Amino acid sequence: MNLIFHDVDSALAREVTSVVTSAQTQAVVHLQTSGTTGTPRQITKDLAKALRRKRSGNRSDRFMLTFSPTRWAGVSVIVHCYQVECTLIVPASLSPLDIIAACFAHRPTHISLTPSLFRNLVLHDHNRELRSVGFLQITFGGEAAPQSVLDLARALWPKARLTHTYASTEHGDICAVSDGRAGFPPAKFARHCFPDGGKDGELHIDGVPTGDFWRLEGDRYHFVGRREEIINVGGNKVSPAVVEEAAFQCGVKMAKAYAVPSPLLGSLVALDFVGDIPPPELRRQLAEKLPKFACPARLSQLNQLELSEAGKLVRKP
Amino acid sequence: MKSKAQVILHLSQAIADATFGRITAESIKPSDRIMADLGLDSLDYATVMLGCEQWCGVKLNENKVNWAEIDTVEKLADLFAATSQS
Repeated sequence: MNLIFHDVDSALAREVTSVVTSAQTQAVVHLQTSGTTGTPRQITKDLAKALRRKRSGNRSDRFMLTFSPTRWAGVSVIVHCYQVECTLIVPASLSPLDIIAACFAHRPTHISLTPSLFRNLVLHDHNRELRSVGFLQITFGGEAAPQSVLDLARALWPKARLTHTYASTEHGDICAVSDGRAGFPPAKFARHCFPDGGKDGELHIDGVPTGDFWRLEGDRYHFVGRREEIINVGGNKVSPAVVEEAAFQCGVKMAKAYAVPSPLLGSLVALDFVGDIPPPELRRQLAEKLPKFACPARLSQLNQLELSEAGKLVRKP
Repeated sequence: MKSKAQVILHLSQAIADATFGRITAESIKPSDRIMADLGLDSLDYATVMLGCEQWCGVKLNENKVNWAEIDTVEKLADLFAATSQS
């Protein structure tokens, strides 16, 4: 394994070195869950077991680290590079600007990241030079990858293979597709089930509810949201992902939809967004794309949206 | 703290926005009934209220309000002005 540290004295470099040492000794690592499913929890992962898994890759692959080595997603990338004996590029920190700087300096070929971080990188790529980095593989995980993100990645890196995955710390990798289309074919969920034998709703894995709600639309399952994220507007269930995707189609660069309490209807949809489109114009365009109950009652134009340490959109208002 | 007159002006603009200009702010009278006369539905009404709560910096207590009685622009303005001053 070839390690490239953009800043060898950084805290990130130390954390990565610690995980590599654990891989070498096939030790266990103690990690924290991202907290998507509730309060972050301490978990233990056996690297000997992770290293027994067969992985495909080439020694010439150059991975950019974008996930914290204190999370399973980050450990997974490190273990992959260790096993395939390829190059791992470690930025000075996981901030978008440091990741971009490391991309320019060390020319990665592979990157795994959340769709939110991807949007953030594009947003911070002020000189639009990131496309000069020749990514061959872009893998989205940690959050659902909407079609707008896949289309943006395709436009910027036409030759890259685009993969999006569905995984959780508790269940590991659940499924992945690489056809550039949002959602997952039903065959990917064939081993799992929905309540009461239904075709959609909350996915159960090995009989355990995941808290993730899915909707079958055409020939694909699309992510609706976490149980606690779905917005109930006077009895109508609104998926934040659907509202955000509509905003992206209007030219918004980052978006976060969430519930705000309403004395009359229980909840209304609010949308925080980053982009140049004036709120009244965005509101008008969204009204053409969404059912009325899903249209944001409040729009807030911001300079940036907060991402968690796991690279996910912080969904609390 | 917002005066009743300020709230009426704000509500008029919010109602105009909610109807995408079908009703102009200038044409709205304080005595207009929000749903019956101006044609707002419950979603529009809730949206207007949310915006006004944010603008006034107040949170209405739904349990203390008889919503059936708050049917005109003026009554809603009275409610916000009173809440804003309390």
